[in-house]
Amino acid sequence: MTSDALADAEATERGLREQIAALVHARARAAGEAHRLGERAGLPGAHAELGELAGRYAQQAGVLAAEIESLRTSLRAAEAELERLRAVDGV
Amino acid sequence: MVARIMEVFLVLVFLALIVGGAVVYMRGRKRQAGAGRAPASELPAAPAPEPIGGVEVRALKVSDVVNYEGRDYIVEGTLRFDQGGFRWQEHRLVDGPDSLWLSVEDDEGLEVVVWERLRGSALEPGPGTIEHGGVSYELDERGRADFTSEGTTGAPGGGQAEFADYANAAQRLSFERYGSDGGWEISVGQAISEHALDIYPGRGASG
Repeated sequence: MTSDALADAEATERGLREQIAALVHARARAAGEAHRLGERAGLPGAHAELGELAGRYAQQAGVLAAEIESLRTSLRAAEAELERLRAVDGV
Repeated sequence: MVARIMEVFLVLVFLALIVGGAVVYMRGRKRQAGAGRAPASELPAAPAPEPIGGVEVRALKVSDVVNYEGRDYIVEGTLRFDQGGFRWQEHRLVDGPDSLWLSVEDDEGLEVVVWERLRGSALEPGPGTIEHGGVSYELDERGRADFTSEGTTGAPGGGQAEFADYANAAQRLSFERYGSDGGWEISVGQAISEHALDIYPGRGASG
């Protein structure tokens, strides 16, 4: 019973960590595109749409950052539950 | 004379009573202290060590994410060193325009060091002590090691590296040179607890 709960808690924690990693990669890509397009938009004669696209990527990076923090909060709770179960299992 | 013998005898009897009483008292205390204690075989076993903060730092690999001091860094490159069978890793961590290096070495205990590259420094490794930034570093080790590079490290794919490591308590100063004609890469570092890191496993190449 405890072992099943422990295995579930470990899977939950691992899943949250993998999701955070994936979102950090996505945020880095979005922020990188926002930066790249922002620089291109600043060049003489640049199309106005580039600046708009840069803004959309920046907004996306912001949304992803908020999602990462939300998942991190969930991870802290999952981590605490996992450690509680490990302690019970150990005793 | 008889009175003198009796006096000595009484003193001896008195001393024997004191010593005997002390022995009985100490035995009683020992029995009392041990009464509530379970035999060693009945003690709960300590739980096996688990990585707190995600993946084991020794298993860090390219594409993993490392949270350190509130920032999420992506592992973009890894250098793996081998000096006659003794191995350690150096990971290049990137967050946007900022990067740092994380070395992981397991030599009579895990040592994790966070490094920052020094740019434009004229420092050269030498025997003894090096002063930098108001810190006096002592030579710890100097040698050569084979290395391989994964991901983006700035180093060639593999070969031999020369290094010189200096230390002052938890502070580090390191010189590394890749190949025979490369210049010194100089870094300053700080040894940290592995528990200061939170690791999120990526889905890239496995280590």
